[in-house]
Amino acid sequence: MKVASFRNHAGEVRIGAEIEGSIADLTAGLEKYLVEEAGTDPQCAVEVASERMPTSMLELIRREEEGQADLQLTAAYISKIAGKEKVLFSPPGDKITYGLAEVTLLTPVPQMYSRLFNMEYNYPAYEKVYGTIPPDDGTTAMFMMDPETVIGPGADIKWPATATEVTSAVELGVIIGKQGKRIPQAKALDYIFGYTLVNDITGISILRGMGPGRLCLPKAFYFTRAMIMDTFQPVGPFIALKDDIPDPQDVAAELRVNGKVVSEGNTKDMRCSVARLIEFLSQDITLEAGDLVSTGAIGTLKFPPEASVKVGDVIEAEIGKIGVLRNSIVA
Amino acid sequence: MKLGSFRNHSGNIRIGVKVDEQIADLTAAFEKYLVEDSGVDREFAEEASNTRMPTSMLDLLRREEEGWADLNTVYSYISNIMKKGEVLFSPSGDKINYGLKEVRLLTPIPQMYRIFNIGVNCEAFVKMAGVTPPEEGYTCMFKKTPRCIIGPEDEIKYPVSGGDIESETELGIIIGKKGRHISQADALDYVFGYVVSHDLVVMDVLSKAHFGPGREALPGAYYITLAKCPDTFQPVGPFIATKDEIPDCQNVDIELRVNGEPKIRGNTRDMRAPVRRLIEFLSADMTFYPGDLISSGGMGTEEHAPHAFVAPGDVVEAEIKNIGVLRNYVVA
Repeated sequence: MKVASFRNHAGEVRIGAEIEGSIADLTAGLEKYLVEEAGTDPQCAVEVASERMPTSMLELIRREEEGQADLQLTAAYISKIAGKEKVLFSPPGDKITYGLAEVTLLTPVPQMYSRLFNMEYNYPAYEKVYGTIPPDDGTTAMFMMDPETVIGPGADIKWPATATEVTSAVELGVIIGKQGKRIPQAKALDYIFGYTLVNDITGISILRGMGPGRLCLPKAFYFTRAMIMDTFQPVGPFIALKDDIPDPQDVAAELRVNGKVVSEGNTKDMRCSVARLIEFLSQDITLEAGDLVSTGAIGTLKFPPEASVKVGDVIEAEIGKIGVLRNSIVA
Repeated sequence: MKLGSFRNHSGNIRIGVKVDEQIADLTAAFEKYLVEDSGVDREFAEEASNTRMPTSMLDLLRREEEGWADLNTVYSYISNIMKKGEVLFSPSGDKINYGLKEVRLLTPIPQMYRIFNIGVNCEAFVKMAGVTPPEEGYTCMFKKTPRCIIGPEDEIKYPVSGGDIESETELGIIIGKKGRHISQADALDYVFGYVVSHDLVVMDVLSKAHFGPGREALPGAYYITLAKCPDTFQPVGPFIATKDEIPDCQNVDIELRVNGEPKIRGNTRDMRAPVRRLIEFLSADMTFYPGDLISSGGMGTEEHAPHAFVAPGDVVEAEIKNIGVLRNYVVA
């Protein structure tokens, strides 16, 4: 199942699932289920649905296993009845099914007031193409991004004032679904809610001067600053729940600039697997439901992970099971 | 004003202002002010005080100039009528003034979610670490997680990823106004106040990976955020001193004591990039929001280096005179 946050015709932020090419409002869908299948009084159903299927994706994810069970139940119910009527409504009259073109998709977790951990240099292409000094075995570089830098599909990336060269990179994003610390690799995937796409934008000129045989300081001091600029982290368009991607180490990804493929690769090349990243990160840091772990820029020797972009470019990051994350760069 | 967040006798989180050795509940005091000094109907006063003087420090800061004006009004009202030994109540029955020992002080902004820490920001630090410093006017910045933040008297939990745990003591800047592209000349207009910020690091996560004198900084520099971000690794508090309390933020003495013994001593005049420049540098392409914390980098001197080693059992006290003493306990 693919879930998203969207703005409906009334301008409200809601959560939805993609069901048979439409977006189904999950909160309204659960309301209908409660009244028509579970015999709940319509007056109570609205309140119960907003608690069990909140319109905030972060709040839903924080319900951990219970939220995930309600998600499955609601989606199964909507799929069952979707064949009968084309447009569904909840008992108080809220619209449930929308055509994709009727809504504005937002970044899937707009309330991401938790944390964003961006892992870097996690593909061997970095070392081979750019001569980057690799992290030690079993480890990776990590920088924290900021909820205020995140934008959704279709939103504009703003060209910065302090960088002359900007790069874009496609990454598999992991959305944590359960709080945990010192999580062993063997159990790591139990802590995942789903997967999304991250377009990691960097003001790379700020870091130039780092490279083979050169002194890496002081440039290495500026990693966070080069990446944390406003709008520099498009995330979305959907979260594919983890059942949709049974093996996170076999996911093909592509990055296109103005329709031309610039980066391409597969998560099987990761230096640290998703399970290892979760173990590594959670040693002394508690991971929380709703956190985003972006697993590093994907690339190969032929299609390296960093693509230079400029004002006017349209960037599309794509992972088949998640969708296409399209953003333009504006001055 | 010295502002704090605290947990009262009924376990609720409130915001308060220090008046001598007491703390006044600002929301309750504002309600009293509205009814008794401003003629607002009792029925509306409770709701109005919750909106204008919310019990969440972050929500108050987000009111920017209007919140600041209300704060000044309520402070001058309550500090005039508070007397020792007399307990005041709001019209709806909330206790207003508490002895400092009656309440549990929390970190001043428990809802803080954006924390920007500065590194390598004084010459003593450059010498101690033996690193190539950031270029003139530039600075090292990394983020910490909201889960790093703890308050006064809280426990710092010893990590598993390393055993060389070091403390730094810093002037923390609380942003009071949304802004981007802020010039040095305007920078202090965006400051709400200052806190004591105690920044801990698992040093061996960096140094094991070859960060240090005579070596290339990589891969060590890849782990700065990781080494700094263990849960509980940034006590912040005990109060926010509003900026009028610290007229010159480039002349502030800082001290860190471990088990009563002074280990770190420094003054903010030694900052390589001063507060104004930090705000300009960081806001060039990134928006600041009210409630953001900039921890301006560990200070120190050659005699009292900017790093102090701490171990389980230690009592650590970070102090800035006009703000207060931030005491924490390192536990295994």
